[in-house]
Amino acid sequence: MQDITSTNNTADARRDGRAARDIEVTGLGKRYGAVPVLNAVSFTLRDGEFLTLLGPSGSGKTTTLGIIAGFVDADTGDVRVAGNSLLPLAPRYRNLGIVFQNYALFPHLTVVANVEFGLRMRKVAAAERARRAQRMLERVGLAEFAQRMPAQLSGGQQQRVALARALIIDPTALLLDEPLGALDRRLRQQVGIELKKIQRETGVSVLHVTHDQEEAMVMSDRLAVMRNGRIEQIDLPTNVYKYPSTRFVADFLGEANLLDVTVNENDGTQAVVTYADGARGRVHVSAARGAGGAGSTGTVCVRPERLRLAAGRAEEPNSATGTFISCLHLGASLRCVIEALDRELILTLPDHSGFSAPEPGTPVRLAWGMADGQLLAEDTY
Amino acid sequence: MVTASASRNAARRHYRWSAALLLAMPGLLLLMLPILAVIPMSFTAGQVVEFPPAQWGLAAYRDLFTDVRWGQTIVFSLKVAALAVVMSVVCAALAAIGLSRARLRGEGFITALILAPLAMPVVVLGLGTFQLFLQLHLTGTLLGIALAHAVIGVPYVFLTVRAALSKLDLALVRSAMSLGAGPWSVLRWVYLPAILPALLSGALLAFVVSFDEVVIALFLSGPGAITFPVKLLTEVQFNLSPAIMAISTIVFAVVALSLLVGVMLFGFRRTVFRIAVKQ
Repeated sequence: MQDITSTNNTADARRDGRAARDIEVTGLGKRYGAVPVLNAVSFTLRDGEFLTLLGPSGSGKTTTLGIIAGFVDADTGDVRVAGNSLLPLAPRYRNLGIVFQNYALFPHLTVVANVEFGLRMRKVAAAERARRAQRMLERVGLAEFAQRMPAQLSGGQQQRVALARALIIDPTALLLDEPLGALDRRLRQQVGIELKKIQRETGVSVLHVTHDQEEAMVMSDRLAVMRNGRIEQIDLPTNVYKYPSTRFVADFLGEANLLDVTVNENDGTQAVVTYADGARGRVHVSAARGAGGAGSTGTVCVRPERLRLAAGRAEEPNSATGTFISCLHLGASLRCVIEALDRELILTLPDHSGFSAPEPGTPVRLAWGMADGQLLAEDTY
Repeated sequence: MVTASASRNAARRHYRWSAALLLAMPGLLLLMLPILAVIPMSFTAGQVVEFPPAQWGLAAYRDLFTDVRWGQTIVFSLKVAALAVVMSVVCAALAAIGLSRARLRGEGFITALILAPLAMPVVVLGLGTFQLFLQLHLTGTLLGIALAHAVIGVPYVFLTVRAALSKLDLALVRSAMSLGAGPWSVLRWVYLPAILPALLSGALLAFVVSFDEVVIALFLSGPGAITFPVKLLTEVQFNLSPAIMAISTIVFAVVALSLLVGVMLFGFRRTVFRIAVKQ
């Protein structure tokens, strides 16, 4: 199945046996002493999918990965593949490929011996081992480095060797623990794209742990934002960005203008709200789990690129009067700060919009559409 | 250039250390002189130990090689040391690995126990061992002396191995396990390569400690179980002859030579290491 020509057939085969390689995580809980680090974490890593656990340090993402890999014991919950629990199995029987942030290549073994390691442990004959390792090295573009020692390779190359070493055992899934964390910014992008490409070619499922939101947006098929040992939201990256369910998600993934409102009506998909200046507006209800009902206070999130400057016209439904403060030119875009609704709001404009910044202190009108504002769920903890 | 200034700094540091060495030299020489005095004293034609010898000759060496007992004790000492090294290396390495992985409540206590022979007066250790081994019928045997020497060799191996393990990345162990390695494979492919240099230098230390040890070896000695230092000690006490100077000279030469070889080897340490670990 390492053959590129057979990828289509493999993909078909995978689709037929889809559920067989899904990893179902249900109700994981873990505490260290009195400190809870995981609380009822549930999700399914679907076969062939690239799922990212995104969160700040201490959110429980690495612990979740550790439990699936078998390095950490869960207090509650289960991890199942094709209906069978993985938890009673030692790590070596779980058939999961793991890539660590610091590569963790065996320093005394050559590149090819590193890649072969999983096959050696499976008692595969030397000739077969060498053949498959060579092909895997070709796949990651390092065939000519087979006889080098890991220390002779760059960080990006070492990470590709680690990837080849994990892939050669044909794992049920790849677990990536901050795999790009040790690389510098430019290399991170490049290796990230490459990693995504290899994942697409091999069709392997990936569970990826990171705190880098950009990385998560670019690489993932689905994104789970974690906080305080729980999953706050799990969805397509664009959906998580467009329809964040809580203040935390809105703030953690990209920039957000968070406006305090009073909810007047809420039918579950749309809501009528009153902004801090007393003006009324109508916004989308982003959270599936109940945002506040009528009479409660809430938060509306408007992304900086969704705010626009209205040409001094009066009384649009979602609008506010503010004071222009400053504008920064960021190459492709402009980032402006405007004081309105008792806070500093951020507004981004494409550079080609022909906007010329007024004098600081100039009054401006801001407006946003119904679909641009998202009423968020209250943070419950 | 960064590298140029770095090497210049290194050179400057090098000079500073050379100066320190120069200052230390008179002291070192003073300490070395008594040892070096043994060498001319061994090349005497007479039967008396004197410095300098009245007449030069090789009589002492002739006596030495016609007397098989010296050779026997040296061979016995080497056997004891070899056995002691094997036992202390296995025990200490396993203990160090075990303590590094398991999170035990009594970890500090166990470590203290392992290191105790370092702090214990050797006489006490020798007396205790003697009492115990009398009942086990281990006095006057090769195994008995080797066992006792293994006990005092363990701390050296343990400390060097533990230092190496503290630098070992847990992700290596986890990678190996996730790729299908069981406990023995992890030991073979991750721990062993990581601690091999430490194991070698620990073994060397343990060997020297055993070969040099005289108090315990004296307690446990018996007919046919006399180590070289014990023989030397008793001969010096009861039968001071030029032959002792000759054997001391030979030992000195061997030690100096092996030190030299050792230094050269450690220069090529990585090569040796590679050969030892490959496949």
